[in-house]
Amino acid sequence: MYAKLVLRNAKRSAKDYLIYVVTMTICVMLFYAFLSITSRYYNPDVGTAYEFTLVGDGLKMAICAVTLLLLFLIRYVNNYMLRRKQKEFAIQSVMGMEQKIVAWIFFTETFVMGAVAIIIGIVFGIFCSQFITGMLLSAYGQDYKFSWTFFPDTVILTICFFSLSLLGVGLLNVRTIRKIKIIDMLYADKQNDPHINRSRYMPVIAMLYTVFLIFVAATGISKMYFYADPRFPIPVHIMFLGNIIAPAASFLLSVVWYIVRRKWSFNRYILAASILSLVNVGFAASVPAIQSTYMLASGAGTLNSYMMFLLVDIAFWICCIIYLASNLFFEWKEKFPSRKYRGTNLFFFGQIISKLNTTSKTMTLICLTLVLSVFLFVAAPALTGWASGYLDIRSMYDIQINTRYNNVHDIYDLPEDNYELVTSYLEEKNIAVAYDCTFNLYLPNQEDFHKRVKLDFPIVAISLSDYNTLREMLGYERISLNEGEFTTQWKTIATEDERNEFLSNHTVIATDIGTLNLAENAYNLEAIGQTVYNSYTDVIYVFPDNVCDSLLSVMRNRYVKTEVAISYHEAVFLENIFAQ
Amino acid sequence: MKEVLRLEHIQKYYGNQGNLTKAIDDISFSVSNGEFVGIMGASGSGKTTLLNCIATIDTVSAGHIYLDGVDATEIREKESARFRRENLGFVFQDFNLLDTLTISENIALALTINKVPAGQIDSKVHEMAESLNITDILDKFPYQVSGGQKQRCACARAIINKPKLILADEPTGALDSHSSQMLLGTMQSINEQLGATILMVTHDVFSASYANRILFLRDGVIFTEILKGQDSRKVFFDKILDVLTMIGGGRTDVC
Repeated sequence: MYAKLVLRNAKRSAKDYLIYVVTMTICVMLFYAFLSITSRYYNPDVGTAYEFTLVGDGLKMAICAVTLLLLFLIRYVNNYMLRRKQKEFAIQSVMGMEQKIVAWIFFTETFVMGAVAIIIGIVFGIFCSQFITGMLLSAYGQDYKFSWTFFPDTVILTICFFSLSLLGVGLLNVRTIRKIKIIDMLYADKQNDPHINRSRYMPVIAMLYTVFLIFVAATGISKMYFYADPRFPIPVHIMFLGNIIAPAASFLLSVVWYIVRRKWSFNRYILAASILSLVNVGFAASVPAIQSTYMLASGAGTLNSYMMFLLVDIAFWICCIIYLASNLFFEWKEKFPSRKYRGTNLFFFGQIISKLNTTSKTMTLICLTLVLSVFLFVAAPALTGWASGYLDIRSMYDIQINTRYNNVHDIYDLPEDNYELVTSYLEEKNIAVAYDCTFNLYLPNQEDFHKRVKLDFPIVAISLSDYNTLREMLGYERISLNEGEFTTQWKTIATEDERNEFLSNHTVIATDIGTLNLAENAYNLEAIGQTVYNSYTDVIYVFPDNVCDSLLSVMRNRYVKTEVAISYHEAVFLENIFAQ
Repeated sequence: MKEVLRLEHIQKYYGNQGNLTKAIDDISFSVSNGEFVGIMGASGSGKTTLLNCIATIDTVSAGHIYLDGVDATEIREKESARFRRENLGFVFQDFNLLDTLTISENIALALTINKVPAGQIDSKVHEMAESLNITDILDKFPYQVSGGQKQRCACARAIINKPKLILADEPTGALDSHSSQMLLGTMQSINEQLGATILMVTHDVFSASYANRILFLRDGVIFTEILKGQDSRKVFFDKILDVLTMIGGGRTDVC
């Protein structure tokens, strides 16, 4: 009989809460579809040169993190169903059913609904993953081929993840139902929605944000201590100070409010905190701008840290605004009675304010999710464009080995390796070589060897023959130089203004064996890889071979292009040999 | 006659020190086996609160409720469900049937909760349905039947376990006059033929006239009590009206 009750209730609930079941199904579908490509059984034909390991691990964590947001959806709908069904629970209790049995019937009912959504979601996920496979194969330049994506590890992970989520929420519901009094359940439908003041979520968020501000202020102090300099211009000082004072002021506000909380309402504190959080947003956003404008050295990870601070400040501000929205709306409404009494506005405003009061947690979550989605939607094309362009510029050769002399103290310690282990490895693996170029990069003036100040590194030079070999490897035309001439090769990111300024100041250069004049073909812009350039420089000289023979060689690179692409595993193995 | 229910100095308050509402203010009475007792009073007189306390749905602030000698106010939370299903039957004003179960399943649920063997359930349900004249709707769902039929189903559910006491909270409140009459006739026959003890809360004089004894509540206390005795229902009806007139007149000297 109880089973019949459960199944009938689940069937009826599925109709009543169709939107919830459909949403759950879609979420399971997307979860499964994306997770399936991280499975160790997933092996689409993307060519031997690529592998999904890095993508897979990162994607797995990202999928689970995003799907955790679903817990809020599950909890919200469960709470809604609980409120709607309280009368039914009361009847069952009055008939003599133990409240724990009533609770477990409800748990089973919602679990059955969820289980059906999971199964249907997995089935749809298998189809959906074909679209994702298609997109992936397209990204790797391969044609679409059907790949079977019903993987045991993905199925198990999907079932476990969602089952645990449903279980967790279900158990909370069981606890809730067991604690409600029968008399309250009986008359629940006659009660209004609970008022927001009883909700503890905003004080908890405020407390967490206050703790977070300590970290922000400490980071600001640390950055200022290690990287500030009196010679910096005023905006830089404002940035450093602002990123200490703003979070410190916000923190102090929280402390002061806690002390005088009996006299100062929580809503007023939240209003003040939201204004200060905007100030924090401003100062955090100024960090990347100031950093790039004044080329500041501020330590690794600074940008990432401040972007995180920025996101947290914005998230807190959104939480505050939605929390205060009903009060703001109410005050606006009272200020304009003519608007309040126009048409059906009275009812409309009442509904909005009531929903703002009672569903602010859900609305905050939806708002944050939408903001993040919009942010990612805007950022993703830029990031992917940057990444793919970056890849094209950085990975122009199948094998590239380069050196830096930044840590070498003496010219006699400079490396002279020809990287023969690469040759041995390629022979061992029977990998035919199309082009192979080992070349040096030279300092025009040996006295510049110890010049190691950032933004003042010396420009290195390459010999014409080596340069032409590289050009030939990449399919460009060879160039020529007259006696006593030099030309330049530029990074793709260098601007025209930088180039023109440089060339106008370097029409003649002095080297250890004499001067050279700038050729008529003064510059070349084709990309030849990032590692030919010295640290913090965007240009190299191209000198005649005989000039280079007499100059100090400081860097030694080797670039190889193979007849066929090296497999991912062989490439990783070769990399590891170098690491040893 | 054997005493089924005894209330001793029951009190029920709501609110806190600054804002106290006395729903029941020292009520004591008893109900014997086989009695059909009606509780009448105006809105806010405390009759539904009294019924909820007797049904152990709500807790009393003071006093004791003895059902067949057992103090219901001292029962622990874990035992209260068992106490209810073994001793009480409840009929609500708005039927409160489970929409996902058929009429017969609604009745059978009461047996299932009381752990009656599965083999006996169908026959008991049919027997009860016959006595209440709802055999032809057993396979229908609540939304497919009339209010009167739903309430008869609720009655069947309430009495199928032969509880010591049946509590009815405005059972005719949501019914038309014809259905009300049918239901009250059913309840009267349950009382007379099956010997069921019924405590019915109502504000309707017609419904109250079917009882043997009426307790009148006013402002949380028993104002008066009248017995039907050998009077006909019409005479008892008039007596009830007289008392209500007296309650309603009071300080304003209407009568």
